[in-house]
Amino acid sequence: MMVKRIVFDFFLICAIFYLPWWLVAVIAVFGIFYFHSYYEVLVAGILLDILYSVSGNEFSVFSVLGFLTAIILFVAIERIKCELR
Amino acid sequence: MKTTFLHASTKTKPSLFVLVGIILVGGAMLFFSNVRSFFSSAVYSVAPFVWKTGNNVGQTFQSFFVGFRSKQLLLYENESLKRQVDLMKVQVLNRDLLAQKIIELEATRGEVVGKRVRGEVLSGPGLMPYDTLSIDVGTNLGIKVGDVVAYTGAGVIGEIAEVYSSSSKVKLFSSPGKETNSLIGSHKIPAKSRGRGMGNFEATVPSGSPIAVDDMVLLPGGKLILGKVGEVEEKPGEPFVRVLIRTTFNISEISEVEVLIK
Repeated sequence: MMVKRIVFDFFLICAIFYLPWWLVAVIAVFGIFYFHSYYEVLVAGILLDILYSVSGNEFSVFSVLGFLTAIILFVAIERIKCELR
Repeated sequence: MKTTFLHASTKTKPSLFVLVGIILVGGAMLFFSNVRSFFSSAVYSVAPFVWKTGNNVGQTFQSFFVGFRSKQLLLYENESLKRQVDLMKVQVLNRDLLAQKIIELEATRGEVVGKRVRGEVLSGPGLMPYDTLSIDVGTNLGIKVGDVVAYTGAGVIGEIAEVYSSSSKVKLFSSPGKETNSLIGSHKIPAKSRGRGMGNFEATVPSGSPIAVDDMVLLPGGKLILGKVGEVEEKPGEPFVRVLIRTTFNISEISEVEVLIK
């Protein structure tokens, strides 16, 4: 299971570099559903923001969009998984 | 002995402590500019290599599958491409002559025309909703934060927002919320063009301004093109008119840009 998780993490990181954002979101959602406590999606959100967003003097949602989205997806899907058990 | 076949789930809920810890660390990485710069530099020391490798692999696959296409189709495409190349050679010659004339004219006026550095787009704005693009030129070629980035000579697309040793991040002028001073139409009406994402802008000008569809929108200075007027929305009785502006090319398809070094 650990090997599967590592391979999936590598696939998610590659997706961040090469695939459109909506595909990355689908892969992340699948990862959160499939794996237990998939914290790696939060790290993926941070990587997304560092790679593509621009830090500025003014606060902008776009500068932390990936991280915010990852947090929301993680919390929401973990909640759904609890309800489904 | 009674047994039950209904086993309780052995998986525990995610640890709130770990979640809060990651959020705090992530927040520190993204909100504190020094920390963010450090991690950005670290990521961008590797990212250009990853993107270039991906592009090379993609091109290798494409050239592999070309062999399976019909010979006739390839011959036809070859002829068509040769004709396009001949046309472009003429256009480039015209453009070079024009650029040379502009340089000569401005030299006589005492203005110095800055250097242009060509860069390849590593990651375009079409993939992610950030309205930024990454290019493969950085401080190694004299790029600085604030340098304007253009496409096809006079069409600007953004400015350098972050620069690293061999790559840079460009923030598009059309980023949502970004305002750019501009001059609209032949009467050069000043207006603030607000970005709406992916090469689209909107501006507000007083009602009755002589603006029409297809009018050029320039940056202050009148030499660089921001876009073209796509639509003018006028409502009777309102003192202002909404002007919708679009870049003259498809931003998601650009593969090379020029950085205008100050």
